Amino acid sequence: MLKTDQDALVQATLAGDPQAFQTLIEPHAPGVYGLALQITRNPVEAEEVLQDAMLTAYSRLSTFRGASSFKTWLYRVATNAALMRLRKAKRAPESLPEDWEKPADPRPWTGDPEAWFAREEFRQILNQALDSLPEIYRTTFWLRDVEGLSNQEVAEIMGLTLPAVKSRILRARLHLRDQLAPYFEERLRDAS
Amino acid sequence: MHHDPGHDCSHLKEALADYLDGDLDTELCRELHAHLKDCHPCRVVVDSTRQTIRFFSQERPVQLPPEVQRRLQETLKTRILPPEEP
Repeated sequence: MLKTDQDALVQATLAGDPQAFQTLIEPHAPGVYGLALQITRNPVEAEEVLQDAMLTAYSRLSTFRGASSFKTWLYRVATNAALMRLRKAKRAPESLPEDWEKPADPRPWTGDPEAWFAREEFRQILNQALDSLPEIYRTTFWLRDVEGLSNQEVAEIMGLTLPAVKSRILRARLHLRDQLAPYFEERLRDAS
Repeated sequence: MHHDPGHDCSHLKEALADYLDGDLDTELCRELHAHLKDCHPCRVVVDSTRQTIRFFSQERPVQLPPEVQRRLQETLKTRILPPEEP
């Protein structure tokens, strides 16, 4: 969606055209749902977050100043809605150990990565690895490496400084690497 | 694991975030490349971390399940849209 189209839809919504709001949010709904799934890891809660986020976005649209993209603003609204839900459920924030230790003798990953993409098992392995990440790292990683947002956009959405975002993303990437390594190193052993 | 007198493996962690994002200063990037050339464990970690990012970045985008889409539209219709003309 072009920024001019987006701006026009925002203005039309504020002028009282709810249909414009539907058009405005439609391309972002799958992304918001995906983000909510990453935070809650629960499809029912993710749907409730999606609805909460869209209703909040509608009622607070006048606070959108256009300094960031509408997508970034909407994702921030959704993140807040999801985190509020976690807090209500009194789910304590988890963390990763302070320091990441480089494996003493890491083995190269071999096999044909392309062939893995087609396998259902591969998707389960990725999901299990994501599950093992504490929420604060998982969400940051998802926004950056799956959604493809910039570090700056992730910082705006998460309400973090740029160095904090970079630190979280690196920790997440290294943790996921460590989780996936046995599968790919196993392939090496299988092949040998 | 000190393969280069000027650069031990601890530099990797400090520089890795910017290196993976292609944001590392040119001089530091050159130094890290020199270290990676000689340090097999660090090279494996960098390569496998890149592969990890690639795996996730190529994941299929999340699709909105049709029933979730339908319920969202219903919610918006009842909560924000004006009633239809009779």
